[in-house]
Amino acid sequence: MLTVNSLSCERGERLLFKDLSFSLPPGEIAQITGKNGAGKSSLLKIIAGLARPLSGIVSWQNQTIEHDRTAYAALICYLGHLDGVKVGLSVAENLHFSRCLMQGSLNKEALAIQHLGLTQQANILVEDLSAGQKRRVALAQLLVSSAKLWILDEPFTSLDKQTITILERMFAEHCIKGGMIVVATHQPLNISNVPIQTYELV
Amino acid sequence: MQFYQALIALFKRELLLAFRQLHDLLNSLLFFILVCSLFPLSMTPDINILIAIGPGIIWVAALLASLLSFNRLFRMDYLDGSLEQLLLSPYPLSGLVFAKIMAHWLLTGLPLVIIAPLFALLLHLPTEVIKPLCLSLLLGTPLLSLIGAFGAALTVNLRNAGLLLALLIFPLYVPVLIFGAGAITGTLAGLGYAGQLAWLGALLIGGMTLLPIATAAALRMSFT
Repeated sequence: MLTVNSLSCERGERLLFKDLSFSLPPGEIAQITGKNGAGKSSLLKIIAGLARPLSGIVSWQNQTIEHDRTAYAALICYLGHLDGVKVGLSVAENLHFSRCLMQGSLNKEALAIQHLGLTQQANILVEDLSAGQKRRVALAQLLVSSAKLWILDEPFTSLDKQTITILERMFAEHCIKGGMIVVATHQPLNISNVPIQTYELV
Repeated sequence: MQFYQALIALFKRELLLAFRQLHDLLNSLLFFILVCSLFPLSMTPDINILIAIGPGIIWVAALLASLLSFNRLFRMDYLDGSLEQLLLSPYPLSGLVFAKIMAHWLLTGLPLVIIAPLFALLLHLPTEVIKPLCLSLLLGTPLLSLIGAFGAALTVNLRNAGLLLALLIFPLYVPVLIFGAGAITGTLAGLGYAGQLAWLGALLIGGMTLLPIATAAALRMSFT
């Protein structure tokens, strides 16, 4: 279980949010909404352990995430605004590298490529892909990793309708298997059977 | 075992990316060649002067050439988000950083070691200095990569870090320069070069053990 306890965050003297608390049990989704500049990305970075909060604690199974950073890192997969893929590598090469780096299980690369409809682009350099296809490569990293907690910052950006449906199905499958997702997006999530908590940052 | 796989995957990725963007790779090598070949042209073709300043020229050129390559080392990964993924990997960041630095050395340092004897001849250095020259570069250039990576990690989130980076790492370069060029001048003076090489080796071992840790800490600091 992921627990966020009275978190406050400040950026450049300005308080973004304060006393934010929630807990996310396995199999659920936490959707973070809020207007631009409300601190959605900062919150996700704090949960991923990339940034430090002004005050408050993020904990996993009742232990702070700094307590055992290695174990926590193996449990999460964070995708930020940036895709985190190398444009000079092909789709397959990128996913192979992600799998090695994130302790993903073997043979998942082909499955991830297929799942996100990148089969025909597998050996094409990412710099020759469109923005939406590039985003799909980034999202394929989720399937390559064996992370339990997905932390996603605006994952629907530049995706077409079909891919959005695929992604929503991925969310549902992940949660049914006991995974959990923290996602910052304005888009209403069209997922049934999975409890969704919504938090609005003001 | 998985950790080694991750290290090898990162190492291979760096090499693959560099070979697909050859102009980046050739930049520092070309710079080295230009500096080394312009010096003899700009001075009186007096053999004694060339021999006196030759070791210094080769080492300073190697230093400046390596300096050119660092602003890309972490900066590109920072801009495309893959640095975040490295930081969030369950493997020790210092190990991953070390793999990146070794790939950097293989791509920018080793070519200098290989090409240096040619320029020793161009600067009319006697043939007996080729061995100490190559050995000192072989020990010194990885150290330059390690030091430069530390500076690059400290300045990774700055837009125009070039000059600041140079200011940060030049003081740390000085010992490498002194012992590196000293090995060659020592040989020319008939004093041998074992002492200088021993110093370079000691510095290299110290750098290899400590600097990846410092670089990893600097990267984490740049993010928080």
